[in-house]
Amino acid sequence: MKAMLRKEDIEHLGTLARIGLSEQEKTELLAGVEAVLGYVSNVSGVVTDAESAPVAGSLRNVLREDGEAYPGGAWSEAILANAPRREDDFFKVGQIL
Amino acid sequence: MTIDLTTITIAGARDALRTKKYSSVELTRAVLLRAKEKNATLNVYAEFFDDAVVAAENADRMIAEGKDTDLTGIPVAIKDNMLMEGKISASGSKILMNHRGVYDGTAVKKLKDAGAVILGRTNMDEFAMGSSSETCAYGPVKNPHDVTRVPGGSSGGSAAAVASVGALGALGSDTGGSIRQPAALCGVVGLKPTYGAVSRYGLMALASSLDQIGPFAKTVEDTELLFRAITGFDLLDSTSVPESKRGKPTHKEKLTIGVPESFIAMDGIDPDVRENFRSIVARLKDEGHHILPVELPTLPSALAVYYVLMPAEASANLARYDGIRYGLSKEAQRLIDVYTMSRGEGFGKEVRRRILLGTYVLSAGYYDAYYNKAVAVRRLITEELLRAFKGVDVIATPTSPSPAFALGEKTADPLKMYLEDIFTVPGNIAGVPGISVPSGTVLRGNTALPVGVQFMAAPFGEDTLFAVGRAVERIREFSR
Repeated sequence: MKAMLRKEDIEHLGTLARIGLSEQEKTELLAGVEAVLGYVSNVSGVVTDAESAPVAGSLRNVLREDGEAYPGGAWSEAILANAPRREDDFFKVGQIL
Repeated sequence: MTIDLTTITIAGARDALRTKKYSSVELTRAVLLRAKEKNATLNVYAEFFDDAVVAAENADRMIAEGKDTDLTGIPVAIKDNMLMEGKISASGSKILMNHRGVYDGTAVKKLKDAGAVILGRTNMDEFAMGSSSETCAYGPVKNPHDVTRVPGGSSGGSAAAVASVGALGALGSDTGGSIRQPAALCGVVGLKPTYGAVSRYGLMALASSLDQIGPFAKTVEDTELLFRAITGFDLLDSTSVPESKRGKPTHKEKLTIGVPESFIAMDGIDPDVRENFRSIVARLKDEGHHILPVELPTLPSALAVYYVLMPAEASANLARYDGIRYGLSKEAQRLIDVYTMSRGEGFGKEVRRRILLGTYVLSAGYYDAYYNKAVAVRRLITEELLRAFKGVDVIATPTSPSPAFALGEKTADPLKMYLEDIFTVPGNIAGVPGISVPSGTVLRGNTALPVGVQFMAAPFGEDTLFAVGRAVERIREFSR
């Protein structure tokens, strides 16, 4: 399994990952990503059977007991203090479409 | 009075504080002074907190009132990826340089409640992605033993803080070796606890199935004191393991130490490091411990598994840094451009590389070949290690394949850098605890550079790791 990547693939990955890349970075990243993919392809050589088929991890759901809910707005000011742009008690975002 | 910082330990300082040889305010001032002096060359701290002395005054009150713990009044440092209320935590990234924590992470809160004095936040590889602390947005950290060399990473600042006595202990996080490898390269003790032993609430996630918070200190005893303070069940971390499921510690005078011979004989391991490791194992044998060769044929694949799983998880975890709720945000008309511009400018090169890698291995058409395959191999490695622990108490390897390398030496080639984690990654893959203990030095030119020996144990076998760690300390004490 040898990953053959083109610059357009890097561009596409950048779009999927929401990372803007310059032309020079695309070239640099192409080499790096390809080298690492070549290395990690080693995993395909390890024999795994049905027993070791992927399973969901050991995560479990954690529910809080009913009762002490946070009072509304208790943390709003501290959280919004980090907001790059805010309007009243809201995060302000640009046009979506 | 002047406090001798050269041989100071947490346990020693605790006794001195209790017997009023000096106060926490005096100790904090002395350590801060030294840390600030050293910081000009080492770049250990991203920020010193101006309320450290206030915390020390509180600690002195706790001691006066008899409400002290083992850590009351002890100056410690915290890695820059753990939230502290009202303090900036940037994870070494340009994208979070103005981000303030809204609450204390659990491990930090436990230290504060114990009366520890937090001096500041330490530099690290950006978002903990690295093995040299060179990708830090605040500049690279230097190794206290040789300032032309790296301290290891990603928790390089925390390791170097303890090594240079800019703190008596520190917290780091370890996803693939980020506590143990810098501990080895800086000549201090570093523990990656069992997955689920320490709450990650308030730790910025890198790869959630691998991340674990742990301590750095000068001695195994001090490391244990810090570990005891931060471990425990926490409802706020869904991977936290209830105390009732952790098993009881076993105490053995003589341990059975497994050595994966073929793993250690692999190419790319520095011959001096290998020799140092063999001499420590031989000395442990002389002390009456049993040495047993173990075969772990899938272990060398752990690094490849890691570099599929970690970027995959990171690409999802780092999606939250989008310039909307906190951090760097570029102005643009369309929302999508805010995302791409903020992330494009805010993330450094290594972070971008790993996010793209993660995006690739999770994309349709490649998911089975990379991600699912890696998950399957992970299970094999885990089973292999757990099986081995039925026959041995600990598994010993060098901590890292080489001593501290020169700044810039491995930055151009990501694979070279990744190989630094060859011995430490299996512990994260299997979720077992690992400790790095200083095992001596190797010479590079005229400079003696510290190296470490790593021990892994079965889940929640931290006590066994402390026991074998103390055995190594006794050997080294004796040979001095």
